[in-house]
Amino acid sequence: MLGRTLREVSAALKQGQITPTELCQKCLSLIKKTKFLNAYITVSEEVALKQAEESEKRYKKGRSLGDLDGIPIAVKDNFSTSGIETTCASNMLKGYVPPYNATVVQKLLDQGALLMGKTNLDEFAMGSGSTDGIFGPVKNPWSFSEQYRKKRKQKSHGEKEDSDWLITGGSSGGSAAAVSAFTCFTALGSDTGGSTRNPAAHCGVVGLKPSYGLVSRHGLIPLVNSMDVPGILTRCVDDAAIVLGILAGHDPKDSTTVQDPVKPFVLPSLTDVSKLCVGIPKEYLAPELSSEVRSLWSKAANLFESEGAKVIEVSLPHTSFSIVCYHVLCTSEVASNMARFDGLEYGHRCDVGVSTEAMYAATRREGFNDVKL
Amino acid sequence: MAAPVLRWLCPGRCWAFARIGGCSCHGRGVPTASTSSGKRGQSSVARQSLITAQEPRKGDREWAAVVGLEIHAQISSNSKLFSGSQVHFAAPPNSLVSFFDASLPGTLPVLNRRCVEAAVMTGLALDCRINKKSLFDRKHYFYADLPAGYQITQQRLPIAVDGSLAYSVCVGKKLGQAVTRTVRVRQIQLEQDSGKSLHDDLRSQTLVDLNRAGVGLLEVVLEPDMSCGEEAAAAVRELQLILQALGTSRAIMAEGQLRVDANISVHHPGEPLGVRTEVKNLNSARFLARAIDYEIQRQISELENGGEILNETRSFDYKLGCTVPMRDKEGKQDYRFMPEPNLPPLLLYDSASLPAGADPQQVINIDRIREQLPELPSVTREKLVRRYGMLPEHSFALLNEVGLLEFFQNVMKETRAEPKKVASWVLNTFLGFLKQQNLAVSESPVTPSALAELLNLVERKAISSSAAKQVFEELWRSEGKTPAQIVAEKQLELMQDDEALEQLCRATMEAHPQVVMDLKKGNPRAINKLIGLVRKATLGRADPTAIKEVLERQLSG
Repeated sequence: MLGRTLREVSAALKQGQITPTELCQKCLSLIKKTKFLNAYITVSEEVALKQAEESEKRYKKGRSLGDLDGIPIAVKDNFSTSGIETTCASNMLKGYVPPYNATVVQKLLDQGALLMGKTNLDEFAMGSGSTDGIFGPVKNPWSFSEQYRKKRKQKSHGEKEDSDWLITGGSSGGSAAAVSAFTCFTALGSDTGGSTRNPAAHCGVVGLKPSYGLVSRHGLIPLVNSMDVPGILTRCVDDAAIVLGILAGHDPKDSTTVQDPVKPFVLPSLTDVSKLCVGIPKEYLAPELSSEVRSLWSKAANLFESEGAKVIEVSLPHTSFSIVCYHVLCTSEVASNMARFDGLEYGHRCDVGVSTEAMYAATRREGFNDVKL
Repeated sequence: MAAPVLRWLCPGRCWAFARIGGCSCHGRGVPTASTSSGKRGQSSVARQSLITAQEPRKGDREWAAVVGLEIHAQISSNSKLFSGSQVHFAAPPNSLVSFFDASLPGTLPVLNRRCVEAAVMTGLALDCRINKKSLFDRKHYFYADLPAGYQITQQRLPIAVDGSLAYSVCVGKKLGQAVTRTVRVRQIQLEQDSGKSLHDDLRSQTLVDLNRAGVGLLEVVLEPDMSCGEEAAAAVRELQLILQALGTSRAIMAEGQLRVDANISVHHPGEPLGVRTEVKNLNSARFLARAIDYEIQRQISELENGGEILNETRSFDYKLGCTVPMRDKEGKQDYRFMPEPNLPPLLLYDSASLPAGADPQQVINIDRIREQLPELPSVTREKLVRRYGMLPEHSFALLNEVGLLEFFQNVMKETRAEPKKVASWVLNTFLGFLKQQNLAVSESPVTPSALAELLNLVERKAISSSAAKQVFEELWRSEGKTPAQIVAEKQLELMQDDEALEQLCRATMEAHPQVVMDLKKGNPRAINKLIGLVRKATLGRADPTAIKEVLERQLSG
């Protein structure tokens, strides 16, 4: 059951083959079993079971809210969740319990989704490995796959088993691992410079970064306001489309969301690609690209071509400047966004009474981690 | 105006000198003028110059002062600039704080339409160019009352630029000698107010109240076109009246709704401008001119003593009456300005550029706002002068007190007395009583109708004007009585019986032949004595002018 698509599970729930509570229990027990992955910072068991109860009532009355009603989900720990601790994997926000829900979280809850918990990440979403949070790194579920086990046994002997694991990529590593390990059907991540797509690739799941302005950032604790978007992680593309359909749309609380109305859509089933033109940016063929990735890339291009699509070379001439621009924008916006963490209104505060400045300095030194760029 | 050497060239009436001379923070810097005329208090410019001309000193060159202002006005709106929490004065601490105001992570700013309209209205009233596209920026610094660690303001491209503000200053001692000056408005920008910190030295702690954090401010930047405290105070006063007329800010300095920072420097005319200091947070109308003049004088003294002026920030110590340095001298603060990424550019339209089918709730039309602008104080004054033949200074006085103009107009509605008379009663008698008891116009025990009735009695010659003053006093004291009632009670009616008056005059003259003889001899005071005697006989109910007329007629005939 846990391996099904959203539509399949939704149908099963409607038909009574399984109840939301049963589904919830299954996921919760799997979360416990896969604790070694360290994908979850907070498991909201009570909340989820209560939500399951409500969902069950709705299904009994035949009044389910939609495709996501009764479906277990997980949320990256940099989204504000009302009444549930939100840490951003940082000492600075350890113990911080927000009084409001992020818009995207609210939208999912309004659809009847069951919140399994808050997932692990790089501290404040700054990182690409999910290794730099204060709760420790997230382990890629594929570390425990047969293929990987075999490979490891061939390479080395007598090495401690639990020190040899693969990273999930980041910063939404916890969400990606949670989806990849079947502990939920979809998870929210965030994407600034690849933080949803990167772990999705590492964990073998679908990671969608919506276009900036399509999905509300209200409640997403920001890293780079000009680039952050909430990201969607699922096990198949169709599921990602369903979730996007729920999340997209103008939010009056976020002035950077597009005002145009968003119409719900269904992905077309693409059987004929002969009218499709696929561009391969030539600048992306960087010398640092690993041969494994390059061969997979070629494989995908060839797949399209063999099915009749047009595959051509295109140019994105400013590609080489993108990373330096990113660094300038990223560092300035991060410095700005971190300015609010001073221990005064919420979060960690150091008990230094000499002066306000001294308290700020001590609080921020203790609360923040080192940045590894 | 070619005001000759006085140490410092101020075309206005700068009697502030004499006041400041006594400040102990001065040191040697007591100007010549004040030592000689200090005892006399206010002196006119011309007189002072005479004095100094007689005592030439070394290095006695002219000084000119240059004053620019940054004025912060709290926008009168229901909610804050970027969040929905309410705006109230003196609410319980931290009771008007939304998640955004407290800088909870993940919250985002949403622009308040009313604040934008207020900025456009103010820009139009000050003849500014309204920028159809303006931008928001972050200004970073760490302080307890700035929860986010930055303030959202408009540094790169503010909402309005290049305007002007006309104000009036008195030159010379007489009231009627007022001139109009203008100061250029560099820009008007929208920005957030900060919270309030209260320093509790007893317990070594600072208490932070965020009620004010995020309230919308209009910052009006005035170019350094002013040259002394009086001009600055007059400009601020006029701006206050404009804001109040527009309704964009209540601009009450005592409630912190209008705060002024001054940039001050001095130089010798013809030479480049001097180093400027910034005097911050001048929050009292009364001390504004004084503080600026003090700083000007301090700088002059410092430079004449061979010292130099530091480009620093100072504040005004109200108790000591002098400016003191404020910030740590760590060098200029770097605010690390950065575009505010959560707010798209603010786009305004006019009727020509308004997109078709635009939702009127979502767009702002500058032309519409211009059409609906309330009447500005300068126009109101002009109308008063034209309509009533009023003296300009009376028009100023009427607008200078909240509710006074309305009171005057209400009286005018119900009386046919001459506007000048009405103005005089309102500005002298009525206002005098108000000020004595520290009341606002709205708290006046005398209604416009009552005053109108009183004036009508005088007009009809039912009572004399001196009797009217008595009636007014009684009106003020006792609630509910009408002027007619009081007149009847106190028997203040003027004698209407001409015959009786004629008889009384004749009788009085007969009874006092000595006085009549004095009068015929040419003693001018005799007539007044006679009038007084007749008045007494009439129990004060005859108009002295009428008595005089009858007496003179009887004497000549």
